[in-house]
Amino acid sequence: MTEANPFQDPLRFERRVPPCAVVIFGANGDLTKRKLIPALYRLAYERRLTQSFATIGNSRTAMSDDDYRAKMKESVKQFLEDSPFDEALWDDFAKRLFYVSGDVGSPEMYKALGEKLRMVEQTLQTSGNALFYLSTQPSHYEPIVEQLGAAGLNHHEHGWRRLVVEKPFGHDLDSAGALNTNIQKVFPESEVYRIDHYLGKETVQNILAFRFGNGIFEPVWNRRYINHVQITAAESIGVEGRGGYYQEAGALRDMIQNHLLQVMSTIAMEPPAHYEAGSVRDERSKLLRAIRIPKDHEVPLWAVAGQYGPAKVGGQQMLGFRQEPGVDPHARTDTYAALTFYVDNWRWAGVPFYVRSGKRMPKRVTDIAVFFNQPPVSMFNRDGDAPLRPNMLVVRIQPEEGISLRFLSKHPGGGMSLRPVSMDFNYGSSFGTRTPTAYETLLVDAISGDATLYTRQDMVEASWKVVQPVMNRWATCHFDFPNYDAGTWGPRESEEMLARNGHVWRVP
Amino acid sequence: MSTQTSIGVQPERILKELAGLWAGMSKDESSQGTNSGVLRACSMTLVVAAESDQDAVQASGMLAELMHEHPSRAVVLRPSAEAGAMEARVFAQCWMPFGKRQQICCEQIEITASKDRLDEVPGAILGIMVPDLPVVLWARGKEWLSAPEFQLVLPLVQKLIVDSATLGDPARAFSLVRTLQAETTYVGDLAWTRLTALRQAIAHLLEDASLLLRLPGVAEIAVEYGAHPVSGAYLAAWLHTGLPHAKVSLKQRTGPSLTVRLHGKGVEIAMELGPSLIIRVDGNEHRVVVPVPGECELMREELGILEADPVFTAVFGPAEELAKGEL
Repeated sequence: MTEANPFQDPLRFERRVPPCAVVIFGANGDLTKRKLIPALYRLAYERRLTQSFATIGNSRTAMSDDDYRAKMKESVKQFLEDSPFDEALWDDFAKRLFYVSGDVGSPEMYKALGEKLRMVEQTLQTSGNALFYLSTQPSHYEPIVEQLGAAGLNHHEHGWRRLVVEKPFGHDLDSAGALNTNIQKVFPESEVYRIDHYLGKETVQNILAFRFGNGIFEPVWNRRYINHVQITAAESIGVEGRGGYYQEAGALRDMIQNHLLQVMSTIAMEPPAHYEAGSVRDERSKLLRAIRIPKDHEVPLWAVAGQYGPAKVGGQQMLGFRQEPGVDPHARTDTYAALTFYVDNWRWAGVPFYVRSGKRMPKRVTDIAVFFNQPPVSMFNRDGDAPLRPNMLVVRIQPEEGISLRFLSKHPGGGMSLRPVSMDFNYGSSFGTRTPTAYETLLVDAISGDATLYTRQDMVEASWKVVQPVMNRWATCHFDFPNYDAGTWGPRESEEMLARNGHVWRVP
Repeated sequence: MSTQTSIGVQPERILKELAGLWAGMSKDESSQGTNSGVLRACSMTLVVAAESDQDAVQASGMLAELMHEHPSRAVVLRPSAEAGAMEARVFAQCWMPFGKRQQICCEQIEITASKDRLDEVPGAILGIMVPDLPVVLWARGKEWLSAPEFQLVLPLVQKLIVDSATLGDPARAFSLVRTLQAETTYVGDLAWTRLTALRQAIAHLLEDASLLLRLPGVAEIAVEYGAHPVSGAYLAAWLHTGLPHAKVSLKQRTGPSLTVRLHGKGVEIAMELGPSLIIRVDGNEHRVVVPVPGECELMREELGILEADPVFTAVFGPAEELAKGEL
């Protein structure tokens, strides 16, 4: 429909979402309060929502529309990032915010939800379009989808019906397959949007611009010039009240299987033919499928699990994971995971990709460091000198998004002494504008039907396949946990994993 | 925050002063015990040709705002009535982004020149452009555009921004813009930019599936403008490019600033732009708030487009013809 409008001007007009109702299951949960409603409010602030837009929340708590509006108002005030709160705008936004209480397993609730959807279709002209957002515990995903199908809410005579699924997409390969099968009984794959908010981050999208918008990087982006790649996602915090959930998940499931493998696929994929959902996701999927799946005996060499123990950090005593509230004192959860991946294709054969993620690290940082090969001859090295430091490209995802290139320069003065220097590009200060949050980007995309930044069923299953042997092995291991102190960069074994290849973890 | 120093107009001297300014600011930061330093940000050279002293002050105020989104080396050309005057001053425009510890600073150079020394200005500008980054020239009024010295700068400029609403008679304004288009890579016209919010509201209105289907029935487009004939011509031409089969008319009116009527078999849409946009479709009335952008917002939008603007390009010719009464 939009394409047929002869008055579009994509260069100047803000991309607005089409008429629709967003239905949030888990409307009283943390994600909704901290991210989803503030993102929708911010889109309203940017005038990117039409008047024909509604949000309907659902949770078990009995509340009126007005109670829910008051609650969400407080959340927006508290969690809105980099934006002022506008009372008049909120009033207008709140008029389109509704609530349906009830259990997600109860057919009655879906009847009430259907009535609410019909009401907003008539009063706000939402055209029958609805985006169902699963922001609940994962165990509710399948019952919700089944009930949506049973109530006939998964299709509409004129409009579209889409489903957004938050991670985790299953807890292993089998459960991910089962979840996908059950979802697809009700929603076709083309209407399923699996959200991985890392892909919505501006800097992750900027990797595509950096790699495929510039001519100078792609020729060296291969095994001939790149020695190895390190991907780090470190958090300085512990489990922060999510102990119950986290001890079942762990760093491998919570971060590496989804976010970091998606980041890795963005860094390593082949150039897509076009920037559109099918092409980009095909290339990501091909890359994930090219990652070598470790054999059982290779797991101890390629994967390291860790769990933080108590330590004093900056004069403050930090709890160990097993002492955190809600955590089993004998938990065997990996709060740190580091893996070596190899991509078996012509571009990357033999290049290790080291991926690590952990909690209670010295600082919060997510970045990708691409280490280039040394020059073939070190003409500036004298006997006994340490090897020169190789060129390194660092893509910083958070915080202080940007890109740095490390190269060697002559130190001023006599002699030919070389020193590493860094050339920095700071994403925020170069453009000055506020960057949209990942959820703003991804919500607009889903409502507009653009799945480029969403993960597809085959991508989910390919990434589970890669980590499944590690999970299997770890399930039978008796780790000597805790094996790293809170406030450090992880267990010694992780350093040893890289040392076997002659590499060292960089300190981000 | 800004710091400044006054110097002559030799480019090398200006550049040396700028380097000194940065070194001084770094030292200031260090002496205050803050290790964050300042970050120099620059994505283009923005040359602003002001019409008068007062205009230069107004433009500088806007630059301070614009630099947050479009960090640049700004060069403000300030005309002087004093014979023989020629001097330059360098500034740093700094701000602290919300929640950050590091100041971001941009450079500003102000060149004051009397009419008898205008011929020295192009040389000064050529020497202080930031290499390898786009150069944008914002000509505030027609005085500079008619100066022969100015023509030397145009080929180096990636984008020239003018406001044809200030260039007098619409036919002559369009003619001048057409001439400038031949001299430089891209020309942006703030009279066109001023219409973005209104055009967007119209485009969104027509996204309604039932209206979209009836658009081929539109036989006549009637635009009546109040204060801005150039904008009226642009709007009518834009509607005409979307509905090329329809007859288009452009008239001046008194009263509300702008009205638009699209009518034909099975379709009747009327719009009236006053304090808000009133839209009447099939007898139903809607009101849409169409913000009136200030000059700073207009510039922000134009500076964001340093590439070909296909819609503007398509509309310019028909708008010129409408202004001449030829379409």
